[in-house]
Amino acid sequence: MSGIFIALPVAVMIAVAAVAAFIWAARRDQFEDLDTPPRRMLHDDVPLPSQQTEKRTLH
Amino acid sequence: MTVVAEIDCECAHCGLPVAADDVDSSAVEQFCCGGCRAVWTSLHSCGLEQYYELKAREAAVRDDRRPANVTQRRFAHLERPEFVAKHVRIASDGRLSTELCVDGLHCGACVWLLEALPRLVEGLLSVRVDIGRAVALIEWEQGRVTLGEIARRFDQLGYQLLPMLDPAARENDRAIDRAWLIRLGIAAALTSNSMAVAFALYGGLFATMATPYRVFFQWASVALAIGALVGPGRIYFVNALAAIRTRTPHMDIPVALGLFAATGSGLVNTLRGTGTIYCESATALVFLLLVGRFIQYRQQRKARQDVELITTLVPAIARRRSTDGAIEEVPIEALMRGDLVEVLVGETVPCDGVLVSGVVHFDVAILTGESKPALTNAGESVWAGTRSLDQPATVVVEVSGEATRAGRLLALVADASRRRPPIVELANRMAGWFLLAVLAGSGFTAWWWWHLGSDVAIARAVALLVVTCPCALGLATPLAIASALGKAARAGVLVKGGDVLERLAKPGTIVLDKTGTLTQGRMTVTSSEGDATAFALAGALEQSSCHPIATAISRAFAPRNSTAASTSRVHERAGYGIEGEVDGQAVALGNHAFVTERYGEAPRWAKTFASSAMARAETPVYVGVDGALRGVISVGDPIRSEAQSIVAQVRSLGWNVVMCSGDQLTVARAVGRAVGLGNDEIEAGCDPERKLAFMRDRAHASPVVMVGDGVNDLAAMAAADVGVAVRNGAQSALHVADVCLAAGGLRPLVKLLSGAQRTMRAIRITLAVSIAYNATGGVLAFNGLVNPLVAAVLMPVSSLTVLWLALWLPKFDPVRRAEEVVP
Repeated sequence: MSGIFIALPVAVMIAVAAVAAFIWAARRDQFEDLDTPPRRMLHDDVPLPSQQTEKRTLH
Repeated sequence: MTVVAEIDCECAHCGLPVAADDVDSSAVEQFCCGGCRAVWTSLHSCGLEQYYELKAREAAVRDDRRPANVTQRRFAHLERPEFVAKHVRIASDGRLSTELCVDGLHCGACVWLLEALPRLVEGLLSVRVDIGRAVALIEWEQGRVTLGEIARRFDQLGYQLLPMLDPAARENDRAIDRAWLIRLGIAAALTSNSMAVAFALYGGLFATMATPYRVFFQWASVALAIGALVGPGRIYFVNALAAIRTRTPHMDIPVALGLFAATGSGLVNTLRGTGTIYCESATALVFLLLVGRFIQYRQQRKARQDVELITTLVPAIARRRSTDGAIEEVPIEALMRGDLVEVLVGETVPCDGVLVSGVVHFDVAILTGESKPALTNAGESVWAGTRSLDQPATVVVEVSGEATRAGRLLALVADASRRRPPIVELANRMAGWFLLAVLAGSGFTAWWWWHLGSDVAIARAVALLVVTCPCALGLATPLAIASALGKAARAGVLVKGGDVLERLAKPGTIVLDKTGTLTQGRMTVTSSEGDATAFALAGALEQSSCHPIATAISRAFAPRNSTAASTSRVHERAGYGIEGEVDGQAVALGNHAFVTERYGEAPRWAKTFASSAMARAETPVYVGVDGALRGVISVGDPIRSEAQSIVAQVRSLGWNVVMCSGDQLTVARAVGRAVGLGNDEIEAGCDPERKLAFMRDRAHASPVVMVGDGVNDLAAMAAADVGVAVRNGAQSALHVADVCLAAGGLRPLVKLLSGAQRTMRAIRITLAVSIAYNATGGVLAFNGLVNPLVAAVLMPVSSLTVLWLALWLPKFDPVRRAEEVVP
């Protein structure tokens, strides 16, 4: 049972690490846009025709 | 008499139904408008057809069909040094980037399309779309492409790039967002750990726990609670102190008191080694209340951002003619009194001024709400924000910018939104009473049990403070409202803030605009009588005019194959009619005066038809071919089919219904009669200023709801307790309104009103349940029956009940697809 004196601080340390990781992610705007990425990943990367030859005149 | 049928096939681009008169039977693809056709063509010429596959997949999830809008503007203002200095960031490697608002985004297919653009446009490095905020981060290489070119490319695909008003404020909002997230994250971690520790402590209550372990767990719990209080929970104490200083009751006073009592008593009892601790309650309270606060903050911020976008009313750029006749594009700030400005057909006038020459029809609906175009002669005034319909116009500038009528109108809007009294939310009104009851109860407990010793008395008083949790007050209201807003959005009603629902709780007066709200806002041929071949000729002739009545007639009758009819010698007399030759036959059509002057007095059948049309507030157009009157066409702005039943349903919910229109009295009364409004419930001839005064007169009869679609309704919408914009309304109306009816027609209005009543009832039930829990807890604490175990059961159970009720009770009926009326 005395193992709890070590286990509890270890658990707290893990929690601190998790919070630190969360803060790191939040500061890097990982939670900024939650709507677009789940849609973006569904788009297949199909090569488009005429990538270089495209020279349409713009109005 | 024939009635023109609507709806039969879908637009190849946007999927909206194509009006029968727009169908081109010779083509495979049908389009609802020129914008959609243009976008469809440019997508196919660039090899981007995959867009339609993606869109079809998305459509199963979400339906938001809108016609494409292609303006063909030059977007030169995005290249001006003032813009660059304020909005464009330059990276060290010469890459430029900026964030711009994108108008026209609706689904994931748009994200794909815009993000594929860098592969087609040379020099455009990347586009990152944020669909939630409707913002694109654009990165490009200096020298190889300009932002104006990029914006024109977006325009070709039906997306408008608009500058953000205040990039610095956005940056600031983002920092606040991050701070909130971090605060929530820390509070959540502390709470979950505190709960784990509490679990061990409660276990120890049943099986005896050795003292060193118990002390260890107690210290852990106290430490976590103190962390929660000085970290994320600090704001409650800051707010409570501020509230005490200004002597106003505030939710945070009971919260701070409960937090302090729970943590303080826990610390004292741990130090003394006796008694009970409630620290996990304090930690959990910090987290739960923060969640509620965060939801509220997000709603308020969204409402504020939306008001920012309304300055897109008047173009930022004017075409100025210099003394040597050359045309240059200048920002409107550079316009001086007396400058000459060119306005092309379909363009928006950038300034208030005087028409130099000619006779031009202007679409003034934006300012006055009048559906009929205003005929303006040389020397008469024209206003910024109106649109030239048929002729290019040259205008002498009088004033521009904020001094214009449109500018003053926007100032009125801003002023009216500022002056709106904030409503004291139910939760904050109750907080004062709650605090008094808790303090009195706890004082009474201490006094009553003092004869048993101060230890017992204080322990019971503290237990009462802790167990009576203001959780429901702090959490239930924002959650119930957030849940209601989510359900409302699914039902096609976009509500911008929780306070809107509170304002709608009691029935009051609802003011409806006419053009575009009760009616469809588009001139359409409603009926006709006479010779069909004559109408086909009339349709062909009207193709050469831009007048809305002409457009309606040519849409209804023009032969699809445009080469079939050749028109020549067309002469249009503004305000009267049009004549010309179609396939060698002389065709003339116009109003009564125009026709009598050619064919003499109209026959009886034509007159009967015309007078019945005028009784419905429609415009009769006489058609003559080769010297004889051959038919009459009635053109009007049709009333929405559901309008009458909606007015009746809104009345049955206890609201007074009033119509307020910019049109003349006869037109307004005809529409009013058709939807079941009495003459005393109609206010006609209202310009925006009068609409605003009308709303202010009724401010005492709270709440007043304004339902409108156009810019002319903006000030009234902002002055009303709640402004509601209908779908397809002006973009700026959508931004000022508190509520947007996203599903077609007026049907969602009834859902909004009844849903708001149900939401408020849900909040009251939730509060009642939480008061019942608190009373029970208070009685138990008074009698010394609360130990940490009872507190640990009572608090989460009460919180969970409240959460469940708040999320489940508010109901908005989803709009059934079959009912949806296509505008």
